[in-house]
Amino acid sequence: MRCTSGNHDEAVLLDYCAGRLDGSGRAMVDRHMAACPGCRELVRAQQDVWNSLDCWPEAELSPDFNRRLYARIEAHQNRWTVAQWWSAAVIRLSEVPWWPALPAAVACLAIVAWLLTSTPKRLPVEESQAKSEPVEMEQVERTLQDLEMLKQLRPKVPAESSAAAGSM
Amino acid sequence: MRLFIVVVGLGLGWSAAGADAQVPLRAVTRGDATKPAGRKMLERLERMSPRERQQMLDRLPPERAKKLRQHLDRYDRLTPAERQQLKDRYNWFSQLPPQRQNAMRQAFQRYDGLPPGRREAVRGEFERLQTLDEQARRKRLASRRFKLRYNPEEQRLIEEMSNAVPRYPTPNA
Repeated sequence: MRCTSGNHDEAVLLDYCAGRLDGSGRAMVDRHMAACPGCRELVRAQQDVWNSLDCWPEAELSPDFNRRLYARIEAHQNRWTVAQWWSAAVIRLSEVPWWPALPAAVACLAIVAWLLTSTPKRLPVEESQAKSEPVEMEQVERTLQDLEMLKQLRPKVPAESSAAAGSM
Repeated sequence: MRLFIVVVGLGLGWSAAGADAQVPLRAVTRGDATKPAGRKMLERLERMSPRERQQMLDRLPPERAKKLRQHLDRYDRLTPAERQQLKDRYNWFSQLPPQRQNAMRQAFQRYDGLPPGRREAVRGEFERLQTLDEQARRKRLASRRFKLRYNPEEQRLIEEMSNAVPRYPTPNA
C-alpha cells in the first residue's frame, strides 16, 4: 500500500505501530494519518495483526530447545547426500594415478582365468552316482558275503581283535 | 593390493569348492584313512532305514537283489550278542592281508558247495586246526585219521582254509 500523499512509506508506519518512533515522529504520523486514509488503513490493519499476536498463547519451550535446534541444523548442514559423496569419490579417484595398478589387475585376471579353466569339471550328480553306485554295491555285496562266511566258518578270533572291535 | 588378495582368495575358494565335489566318490571308492571300506560299509548298512535298503536293492538285477536281501535278513535276525561277535570276526578278518582274505573267500565258495552234513564236519576240523601250533597242525593234516575222515577234495579245502587264517594255539589243544 502506498501513501496517497507520497510522503510516508510503510517502514515509518510499521515503526509507528511497533512504538519505535519518538514523540515528534509519532505526532507527525498522527497528523499525517488524519488527512491520509491510505496510511490510516495500513496502521489499523497492522494494529489488528499486533492485537491478534498478543492473543496468541506462547508455546512452552524445553530448556535445551535452542541447543538441540542448532545441533540439528549443524548436522543437516554436515550431512552429505549420496550424490555429494559419489561426486567426491569420483573426484578423489580421478586424482589417484591408476596406471601403476594396471599390471597387477591384469595378473589378477589371468589368475582368475587360470583357476576357472584348470578347476576340474564337476561330474553331474547323475553321472557321479552312476560311477559310484557299482563300486558301492560291490562293497555291499562283498561285505555281506564276508559276514556270511565268517558267520558260517566261525574262525577263532584273538582276544585283542575282539577288544579292538568294540570300538566299531 | 587389496584387490589382488580378494581375487586370489576367491580363486582359492573356488578350487576348494571344486575339490569338495569329489568327496562323496572318494569316500565310497577308497574309504577314509582310518577305517577299511568294508567296516564303513557295515556301519552304513546298519544305519540304513528299510526304505534306503529297498532303494539300494532296487538298483540291482533281481537275482543279485534277492541274494543280497537274504544276507541282510539273516544279519537282521541275529541277536545283539551274535551281531557283536560277528563284528568282532569281521574286524579281525578285515585286518588280514588281502591275499589271505581272498584265499579264505575262495575256500568258502567251495565250502558252500558241500553237502550240509559235510560242511559241519569240515568247519569243525578247520576250527580245531586253528587252535594248534604249526607242528601239531601239520601232524594232524598228515594223520591217517584225517585222511580217513575227509575225501581228497575236503582235505584240500580244509588245508587251504587253515593256511589262509592265522592260528591262535590254545594251551590245552
